[in-house]
Amino acid sequence: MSNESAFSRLHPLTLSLWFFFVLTVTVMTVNPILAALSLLFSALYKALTTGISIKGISVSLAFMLLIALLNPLFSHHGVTVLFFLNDLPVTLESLLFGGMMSLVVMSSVLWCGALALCMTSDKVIWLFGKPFPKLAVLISLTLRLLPAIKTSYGRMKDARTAAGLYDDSSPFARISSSLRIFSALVTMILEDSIDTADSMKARGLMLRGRTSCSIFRFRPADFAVLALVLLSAAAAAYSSVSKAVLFTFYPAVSYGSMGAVTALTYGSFALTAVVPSFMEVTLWKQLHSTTYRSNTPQARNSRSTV
Amino acid sequence: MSFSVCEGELVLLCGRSGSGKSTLLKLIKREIAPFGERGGEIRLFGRSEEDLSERDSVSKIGFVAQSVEAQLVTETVWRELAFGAESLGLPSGEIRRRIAETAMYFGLERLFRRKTATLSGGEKQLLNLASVMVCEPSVLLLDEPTAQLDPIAAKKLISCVLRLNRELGITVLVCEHRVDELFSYADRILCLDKGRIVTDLPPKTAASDASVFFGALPTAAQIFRRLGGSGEAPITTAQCRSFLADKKVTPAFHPDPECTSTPAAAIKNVFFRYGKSDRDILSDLSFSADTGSVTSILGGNGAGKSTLLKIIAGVEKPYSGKLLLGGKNAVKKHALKTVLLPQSPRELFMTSSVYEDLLESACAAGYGKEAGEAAVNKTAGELGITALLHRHPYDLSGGEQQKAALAKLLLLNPDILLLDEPTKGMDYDSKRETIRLIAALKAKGKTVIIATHDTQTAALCSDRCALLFDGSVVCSDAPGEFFTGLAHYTTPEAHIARGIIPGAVTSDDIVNAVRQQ
Repeated sequence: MSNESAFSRLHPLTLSLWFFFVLTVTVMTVNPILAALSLLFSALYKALTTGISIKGISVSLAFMLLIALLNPLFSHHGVTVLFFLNDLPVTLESLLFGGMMSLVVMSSVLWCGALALCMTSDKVIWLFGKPFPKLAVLISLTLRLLPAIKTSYGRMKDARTAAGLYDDSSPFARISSSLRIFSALVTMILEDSIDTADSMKARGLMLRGRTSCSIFRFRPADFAVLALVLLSAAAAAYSSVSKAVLFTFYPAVSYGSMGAVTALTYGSFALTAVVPSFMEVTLWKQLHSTTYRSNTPQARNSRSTV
Repeated sequence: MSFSVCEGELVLLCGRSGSGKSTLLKLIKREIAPFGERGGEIRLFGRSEEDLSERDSVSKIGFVAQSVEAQLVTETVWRELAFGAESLGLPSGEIRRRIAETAMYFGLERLFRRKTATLSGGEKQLLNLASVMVCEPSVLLLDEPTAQLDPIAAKKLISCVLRLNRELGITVLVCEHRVDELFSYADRILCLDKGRIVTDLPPKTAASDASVFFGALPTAAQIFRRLGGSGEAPITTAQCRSFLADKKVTPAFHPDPECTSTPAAAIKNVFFRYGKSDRDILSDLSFSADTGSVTSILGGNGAGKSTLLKIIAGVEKPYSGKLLLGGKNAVKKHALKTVLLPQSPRELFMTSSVYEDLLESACAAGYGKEAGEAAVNKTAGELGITALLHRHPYDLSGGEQQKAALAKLLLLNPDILLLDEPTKGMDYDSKRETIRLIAALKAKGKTVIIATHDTQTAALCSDRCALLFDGSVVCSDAPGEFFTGLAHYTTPEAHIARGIIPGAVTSDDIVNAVRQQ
């Protein structure tokens, strides 16, 4: 597990609740402060784990700008008219709402990337495996089969290429060659599945009372993060009901006054969202060169220059 | 048939293919017993099979089959280990203890969190064995467990099985054709023929018993039998050496290989790696195979034998260096036709009958419909697979599949045949047949290049052997010199003959050396 981020070492239960909370807030909110916080910390986490490039930033900014500019073309609500386009009003409120939407979309994309990084197949299986042990077997079986199919396909293609039976002279020939291999591959998989079924039966798939084992442990860090998530969720729920963080764009921009509840909501959300980055920075602090770090391109470059 | 096995015994089952070994083993394990009519009674642990509870049948009897890949169920190593214990409904803590302990016993700690897809063949089969052991069985049934493994991985697996038997007292029934290691350690040898038990003897007596067929004997006993020795047969290298020691012998004589003209395939200073950031698989490799000769490439796992074949076949391109076929640069123009027989020949079959598959080749080679059918029948006749033509390729045995695949390739009129591990997992009879086929190809003037782990086959069928190590050829010589020059990586016969019969590397060499006196 060389490229494992610190955050993904948390228990699957903690991780799934954390992602559920942060993604829900990010997607549901119409509050630009929450959306901005979400974008800030999701971008920070991406920078700390997979790294970000100038190209990546510019593409993302262009994407966000596009969303922000598209909204006023389609939505003409709002009281502050900036100018008319084709006899239709383009309003300031609509532009601001577009900007908010771009924050939401971008941060959702980034959090989903983080989710894919942290929620490895093992953790997904844990989530479903506890209540449905046989479903866990099914997921795991599928996850094993996919790379195996890919390898077999490559081998069959090589075998035919070496014999000169793989025709890739034209796109049509390539498609028909691939289909031919694929149909043979299906036969091969079915043939092999007899052995797999035997192996499962021999090891008691048919017995009643199957359990699902996990190698995950609930540690103090899990309790801390879980407590934080619950606190933030309570604050967010309370303020959304009491409209403490209410923010409306139409017809004119308006927002509630900054009270204790509002501050608590923003603060606790920020704290929750910063957890992955915080763990990433602090966990490896004592280790000057970790496997994870040393695998990033930057680390490799800096090592070679030293 | 009737037989019984005592607790803690190690029983080696042998028999030709089709003698019913697998069926016998599977019948003992109720969950996977083949369908059909059954008479008689199977008693397990002193009780009738029917009285055994489902849980006991699952946990007390472990079964490992030969298919390395298809036995794996899950995607990570630890989950695979946990599978059996999860079935038994054990609590999480107990499962964790068992898989930890088993992983340690089998030396799988480093692989614990790895994906099963990333393991080598040997590691996968070791995992298959370990995941059965997690259920803590008291009887272990092994159906040709090393058939798909290279010799080094096979030795490792067998030594694990021996440990389980010796240290933990687990009863083992194993059928296996790689008998050199197992034979002398077994408590009993059971020999099956046409569904009957013909021999049930301890190894020392079995080795000199006529009912045990030749292919089931270890090399030492084979030499003893060929020399017509009497009394107790040797079953280990050391015993065979003392048997030969007092014999008068002449040194083995290897005729100089006839000098051939141009090399059919030559590789000059080739470098190859799969990805930019990978290591070099081949580095500065130069190699050539003479026209109409048989060349064997030997070497350990990952030495690059298969890669070298793929480069000659044009499947992979080196990033530096030249490939010459028939003296011409192969990148520009394929002067000679090359074909590659993959390690598992079934990868070549695309249709539901051998006949259709062969016809595909005939069409690709430019035969018309009728000429193609004639060519298919002729090639099938030459290889002795006419009777198999209308069978599904997957229903054939390993040896038959290989012949069918070879027929498919021969219809393409190749000049150079590249064979990747042609004797992998084969029993004695099929190996002999493959060696005969290679000789027949040579007689037809084809150039054959073999990548193999099997030193015995290489010594018997090649004109030249090359040892691949660290990405390049370390030594290359005629088999006689090649295998006497190597002290460890050589044939079992050479181990036996070392210092007794100079230059002997095959059992033919030994037998001739003794007989000539």
